[in-house]
Amino acid sequence: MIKFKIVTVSILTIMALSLFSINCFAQNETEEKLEESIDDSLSDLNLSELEQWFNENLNDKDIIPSSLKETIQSIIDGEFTYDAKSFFSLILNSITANITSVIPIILALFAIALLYSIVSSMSSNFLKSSTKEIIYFVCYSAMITIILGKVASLVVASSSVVKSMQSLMDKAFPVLLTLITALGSVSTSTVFQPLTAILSNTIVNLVLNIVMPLFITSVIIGIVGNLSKNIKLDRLTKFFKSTSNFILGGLFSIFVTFLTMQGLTGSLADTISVKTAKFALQSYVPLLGGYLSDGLDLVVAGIILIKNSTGIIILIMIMASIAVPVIQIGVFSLALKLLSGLVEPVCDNRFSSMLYTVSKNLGTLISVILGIGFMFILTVMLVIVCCNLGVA
Amino acid sequence: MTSWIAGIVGIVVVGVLIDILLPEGDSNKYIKGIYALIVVFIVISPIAKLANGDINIDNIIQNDDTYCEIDDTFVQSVNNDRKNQDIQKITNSLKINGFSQAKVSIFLSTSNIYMIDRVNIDITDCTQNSADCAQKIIDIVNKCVNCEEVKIYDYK
Repeated sequence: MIKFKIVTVSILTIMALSLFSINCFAQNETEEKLEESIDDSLSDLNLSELEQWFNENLNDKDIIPSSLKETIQSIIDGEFTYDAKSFFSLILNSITANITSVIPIILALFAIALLYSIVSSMSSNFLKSSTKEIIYFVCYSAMITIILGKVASLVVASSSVVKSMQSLMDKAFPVLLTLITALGSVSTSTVFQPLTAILSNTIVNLVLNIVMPLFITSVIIGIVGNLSKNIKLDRLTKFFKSTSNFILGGLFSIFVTFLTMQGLTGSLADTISVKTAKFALQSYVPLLGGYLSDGLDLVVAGIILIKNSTGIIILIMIMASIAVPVIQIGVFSLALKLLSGLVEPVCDNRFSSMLYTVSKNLGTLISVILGIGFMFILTVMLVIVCCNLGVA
Repeated sequence: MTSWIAGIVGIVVVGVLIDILLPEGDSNKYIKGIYALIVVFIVISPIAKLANGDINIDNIIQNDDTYCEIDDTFVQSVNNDRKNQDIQKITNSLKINGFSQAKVSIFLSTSNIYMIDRVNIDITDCTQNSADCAQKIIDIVNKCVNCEEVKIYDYK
């Protein structure tokens, strides 16, 4: 009896081990085939324009250490690590550098405000009160010269970031849509093509041609409005700020709604058609079903991995390109708010009001960059999430 | 827009100069009243342009129909890989069902999307006859791939 038990257990163990080894062998073979398929597809994929954009606009080895294809391969292999520590150290470095560059401007503005305060405190001795107004006019002119110089450089930087994001979209979307088309997701590809055109063309141009001029107008009128006690242009400044915010908000809401509706519909249609094909295979070929449906996914699975890894790299590129100008504008805006608070008790209220108005208006510039970046990120994320046929 | 902003800046500077230079007196309030009217006139001047419909949307949004071209070479290369994979799949399935010498060829549609138009099976080297096993082969192929037409060739 014991002998029988030992023999039974041994036979069962041998069967279990052989099944396990067959499974492992099949798994290794599938992995090798998948790697081969990925290598083939990756070598055929044209990423030269995307690489050129990275070299021209970012070219930071901390962000993407090697060539794009090598990075995609390392993401697929699970070797690519982008930890929070290095990301935050990059942001902290950028903040520190911007604070250092803003300090001389803030000191100069504070010195002018103090000078005005000292001179105006002696104004009781002046014959006419208009002399005090002339001193204010001179100090104010000196201040706005410095501020407008910095604001102009920020506007140029923001416009160039928006244009560079537009150029990144022009380079990234054809690659992503090619990968989606290669997956056979005809509905999603048809939906994304006009969507990406709307984002890259219509929305970016509307922002560059309408929102940016409105921002500049709002800043200039805000500055000029504090020049004289008699002419108040506060409401006009608020009107321009509200208009630019309204246009930005409207554009983003419409785009996100459109994106959600169309993206879901397109990907759903594709998923249903592919799932039907898989179901047909698995139910009608009971013995071979598993093997066949696994085989069906090999080339497609490779393309899905490449699509998602390319999407991740594009996301990193977007974040890296918007992080620097947003930090730059954010630091300057906060510095102006701080200066406005420091200046308020020592001199004329109009100085503090002007500084605060400019600081508040800079928020629109941050909204422009973050808004376009957000729409871009959302579209790329939807591409990553959509058409994952084998896993959805 | 630039000229409008320049106009506002200019009129405000003039206003500051009026404040500084204007002597005290009865005429002061009338001059300030006229000045306020000029400021309002300059501020609302672009509204007239808007009402005339002078804004051309084409200047703001440039339509580019050629945007986002798909890389056909890559898609064709992936489709070829998938075709070879499907040929392998059908060949294996036929082999399991006793058609080990069958030759499989797949013809795709001309579009970018992977769609199989026709599957040709050549069973000349197989021992079976096409008349006996045609339906069986068609069933095997249909279970492996989605296709409109399966043609079986037997030159025995």
